[in-house]
Amino acid sequence: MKNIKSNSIMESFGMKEMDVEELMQISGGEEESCGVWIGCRVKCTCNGSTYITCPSKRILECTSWGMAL
Amino acid sequence: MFVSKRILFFKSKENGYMLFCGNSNSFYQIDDENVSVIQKMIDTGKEDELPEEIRTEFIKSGVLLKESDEEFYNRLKFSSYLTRFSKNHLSLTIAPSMACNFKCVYCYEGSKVKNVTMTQEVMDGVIEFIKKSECKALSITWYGGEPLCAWDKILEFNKKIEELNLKSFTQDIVTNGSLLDEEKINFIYDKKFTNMQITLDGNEEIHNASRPMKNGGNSFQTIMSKLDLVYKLFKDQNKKIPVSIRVNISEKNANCYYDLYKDISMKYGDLFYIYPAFVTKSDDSDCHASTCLSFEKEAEFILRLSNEKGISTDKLFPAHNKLVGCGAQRINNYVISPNGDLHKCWEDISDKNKCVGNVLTGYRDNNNINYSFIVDSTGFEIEECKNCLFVYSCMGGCPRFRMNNETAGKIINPVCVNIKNNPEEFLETFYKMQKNQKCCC
Repeated sequence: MKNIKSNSIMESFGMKEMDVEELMQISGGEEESCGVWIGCRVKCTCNGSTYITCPSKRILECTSWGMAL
Repeated sequence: MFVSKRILFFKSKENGYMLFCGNSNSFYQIDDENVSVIQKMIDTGKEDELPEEIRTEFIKSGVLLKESDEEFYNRLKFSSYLTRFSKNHLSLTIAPSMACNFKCVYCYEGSKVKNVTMTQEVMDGVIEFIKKSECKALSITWYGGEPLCAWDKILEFNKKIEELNLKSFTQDIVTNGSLLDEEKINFIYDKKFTNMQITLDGNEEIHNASRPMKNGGNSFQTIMSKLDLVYKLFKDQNKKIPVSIRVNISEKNANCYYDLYKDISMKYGDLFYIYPAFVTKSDDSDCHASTCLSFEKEAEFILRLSNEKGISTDKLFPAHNKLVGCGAQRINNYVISPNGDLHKCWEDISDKNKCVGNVLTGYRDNNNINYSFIVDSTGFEIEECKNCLFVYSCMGGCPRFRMNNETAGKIINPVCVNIKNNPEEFLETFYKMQKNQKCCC
């Protein structure tokens, strides 16, 4: 099989996978509990976005059109 | 695992079997030896006979989902709503003036607008509006009229916005390009504008006929001289300025796109991004309606351009997936006219009935315009979109077109992506262009 264009689902939505610790290191943010998603959310201090995690504790990174809460 | 239904598995004309997955816009050429096992996976909904390498790739790209298509759809719908109602990011399209030095024959702002330029009171109102929004990130598109007619306003806005110390501020501009000079070009570069869109309507003769200058000047040559200036300033500096040249395409000029593309590319290399944009109509009585290409002819144009001329366009393959189809579908997204009126869509900037408030007098969405854009006209709510291969890429298309079509009870402008017309041919053409490394996607 030849991958002509191979994206993960999240990549295709302009999001990048990273774990909570990695994101918090980059963002300088803090982890918060979340009422709407199983898992948590992380406040980011670099661009004002809030990142939400998926149930498996992976991060869906916000883009300007992304998943900012 | 669930085998997603949002896939297209087909035998191409010249390049064997191919598989496209709309959940991630992934695209594969399938070796003959794996065709039967993939066909079986689709027929039975079971993936247990897939080679491990393919199974892993299919899980990554969403050919295989951990949940049903419907559950996945609902997950994205939920995320889309979060994004639509997010207040963190404020997107404004600001027309600092409706003055323009062009008199384009098709201008939808037309005779309804006067040459109003933003007063100091309205400018202060816009800044207050930004402050009150408590946004953390701000993006502005400078629009008009011709925004460069009010360059001093853009400079003043920049100064005042910088004083707000927002965590993120980005800007871009839609301009006819004719008023560019060295100072403006350098400002646009220094302030890291994400895009400067300049429009051409075809070759010199056609362009000048549809986008004449009010002073009788040669509009095409004026724009070219400004592109020369941008080229001169940047060609030796190894700097890239994000200029995109939008070429409006209709029956009148479809045949000359190739020559125009070739001329600009030969002159300026890859400094500018050139792309075709199909002309749309406001309604069937629009005097330019008869020159618009049909949906089928648009598809033919895209394919012919690739197959016969070797020029790829970003319409050949689905655009990046997204959670919101149009900025107007976000609550914190407004178009601001020079008198401070707030609108949702650029094309409504002169329509008082589509006004949702004013930066000085506040929010008053008498006609429930926000609801129509944000909730009622997105792909998630429409049955045809729900089952479409490309829904996550197009998200229901232009909400304004959708609303206008519904009001008219017929299709005035198509809302679907061109690839939907003939996905197999588009995808195989995309593959061939990629193989020849001519694809811009």
